[in-house]
Amino acid sequence: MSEPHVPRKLQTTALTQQVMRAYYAGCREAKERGRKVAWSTVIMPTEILVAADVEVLFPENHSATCGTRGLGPALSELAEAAGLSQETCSYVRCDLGVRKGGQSPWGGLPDPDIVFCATASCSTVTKWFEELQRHFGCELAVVDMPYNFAGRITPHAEDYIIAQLEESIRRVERLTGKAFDHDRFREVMELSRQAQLYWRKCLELGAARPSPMTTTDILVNMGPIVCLRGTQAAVDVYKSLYAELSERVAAGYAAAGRERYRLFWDNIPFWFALGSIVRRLGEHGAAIVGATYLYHWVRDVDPADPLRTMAREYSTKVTMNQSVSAKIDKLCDLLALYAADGLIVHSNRSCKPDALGALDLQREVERRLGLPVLVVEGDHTDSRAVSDAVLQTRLEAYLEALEQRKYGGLVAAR
Amino acid sequence: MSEPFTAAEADPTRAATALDALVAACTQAVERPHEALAAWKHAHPGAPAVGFFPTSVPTELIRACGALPFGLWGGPIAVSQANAHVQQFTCSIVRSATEYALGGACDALDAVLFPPICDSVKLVASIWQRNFASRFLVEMVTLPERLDSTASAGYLAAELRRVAQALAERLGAAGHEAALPGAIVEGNRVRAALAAFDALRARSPTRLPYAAAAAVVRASVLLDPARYLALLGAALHECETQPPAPAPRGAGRIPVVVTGLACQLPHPQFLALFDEAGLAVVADDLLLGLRGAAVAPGGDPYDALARAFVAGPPLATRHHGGSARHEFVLQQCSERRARGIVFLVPKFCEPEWFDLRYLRDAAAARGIAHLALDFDEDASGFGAALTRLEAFAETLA
Repeated sequence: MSEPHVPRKLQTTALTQQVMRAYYAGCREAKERGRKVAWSTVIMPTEILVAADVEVLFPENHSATCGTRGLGPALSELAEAAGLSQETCSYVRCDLGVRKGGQSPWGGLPDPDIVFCATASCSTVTKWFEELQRHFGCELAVVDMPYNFAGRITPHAEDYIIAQLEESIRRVERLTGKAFDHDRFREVMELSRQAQLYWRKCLELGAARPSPMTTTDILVNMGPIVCLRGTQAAVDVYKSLYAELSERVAAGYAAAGRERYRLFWDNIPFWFALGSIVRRLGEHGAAIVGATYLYHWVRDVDPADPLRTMAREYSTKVTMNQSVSAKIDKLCDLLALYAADGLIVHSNRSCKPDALGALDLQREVERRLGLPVLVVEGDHTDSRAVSDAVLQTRLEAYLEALEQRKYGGLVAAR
Repeated sequence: MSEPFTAAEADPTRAATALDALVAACTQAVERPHEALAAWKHAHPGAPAVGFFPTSVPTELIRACGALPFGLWGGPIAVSQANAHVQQFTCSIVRSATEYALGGACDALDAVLFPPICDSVKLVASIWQRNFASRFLVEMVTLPERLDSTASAGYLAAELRRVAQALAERLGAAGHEAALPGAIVEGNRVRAALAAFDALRARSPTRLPYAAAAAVVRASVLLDPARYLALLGAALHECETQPPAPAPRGAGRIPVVVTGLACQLPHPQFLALFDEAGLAVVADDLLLGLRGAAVAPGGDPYDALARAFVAGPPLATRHHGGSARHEFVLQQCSERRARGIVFLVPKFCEPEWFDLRYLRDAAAARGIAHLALDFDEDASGFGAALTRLEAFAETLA
């Protein structure tokens, strides 16, 4: 047996961690400095808030972090004891569990002055943020982004989203007591455009053979694109990451070591089991080289016409808000770009918009590309929904199928 | 346990009263909806029929095309083929409706319209689009999720116009725009009749078993509107002019409000448990999205439909702003002098599970007794539900 491969850490990760620490510290101190705090969904034009000098926190991000620390079940149980069904999204249950006194790696989030949500990710967030509004007694701004059933945005849907973004701006003006600075907004949008551009370029470098980054590499560096779009700090992180990954590609560095199989991941990770899944796959020479989840923060906004381009981009680029057929087309393009040998789909009980359609997707990807697809049921933070033994068995059976498909033999020894 | 009305017992041609005839026709349609559809198609050769997922598609768009609006529901069917498309952690209505469709039960339809009422229905619409587009048109009436924006009604009016155009093109209904005002008048008549029926139930809650009353509401989106109006109109007239018959066996006595049924209905035997437990349902939210106030006549008909929807009764699946839903339920409870609220929550219905938590708190704050039960469309395992309903009735007695 060969020595296990130990990937080199990306130097940019230290910068990302520094930026994120400063961000969280800034949020904690915001109220002392007289700044307003908003809670927002992660799929939301938060650049409006950044331009208005409002600190933005993301309960989904907080819940995902709770998940990575294995806190999902305990927090969920607290939420369920408080009357929230186990059939609701476990991100919401983690958030409520923390508000009911459960453990948080961040010590909870500072109370919001306003909560913002957009429906592009799901309708669950509307119910969640209605509950937050009731809990905190604060204002709620919902931006309804109609489901893109037909694969194109209608003119009336575009106008509807723009009208609501304008309403959101007026709410922010009421919150801050200041007129919205549209020049500053355009600057923020330009920074957001640059951050998303470099984020996309980094993701696409992941398609190189061998891939210069592991799944863990990219996930630990995604904080700024989620939380800090519209800031110089996010641009700096992704320019640095792009330069570093480019060097790795030029040097032919294989971040995962052997790439006997290149796999693509669909849906949110099992946050509590991410490390063990990557390790188990790695023991068989299988590397996850890309994920649709990471592309949720790839949008091409035009600072000269920010509201209209955001309306279009959120309607046409967020896979959870698109038809199953559109998602399949996008996924097939990505599988080709990444030269993937297979696809693992997380049939996530807590994210129906991303999970429903997985069975049609499985058949269609196998038909179009001849790639084996594993659909595995689970949950992004509530590990009670996942049997580790079943997961292990499914992964091993899948690797055997991959081996036979690609090499015509038995699965590679560890 | 008391028996629910069954189609076998209730032959509309042998009914002694207009109310019996109404219940018989509605029960038949609810128990065997696809036979009702086939009978309508047989009686209207060449006329189109358009299915839609309850509860919020304005049926006037369908009527303006000269088509029968046919409310698609699931039912107590063993799901097998649909397991290849829809995971088990979704509600039974989308799974069983998909099972029926895969079995060809919807092939007599010319189109199916979906409202994006929740994440599951959005995605299942998309799955139907992939799998059934060669059999019938699959289209979405992309309702606004927000009803509290000044832009919501304008957006919806434009969306209704788009869907009407797509439907008319598919059905070859050139005169749909001219027919729309007439369809709105007919829709208003159905809404008014349903409101009168609702008021009758409030006044005389033991006049019908709960399953029969629910079948009458549900059949409003299954039967030909003209026939439905004739049956319901005659029954209402009869009830206004004749004293109520003795309460049927098992009919309840303690008035309660039921909420959680906006788009899904339990098996009739489950509804019969209310009567068995001694409860009388004086209000519920079954098909609430289609039971709003009259659509204003005149002006742009799409605008009028959109404004009526935006101003309609509160649904778990729409954002109304503020506390519209719980105020509505508590107001129903107060106006109908109900002694308690039963929350019937469909399994895997995330919007209802979210609302349940604060509805319970709101009821408790007013000192209103309440009970929460979950259900799906399965036709088994009612014993525990009956025990809980009976225990609840005892606390209210």
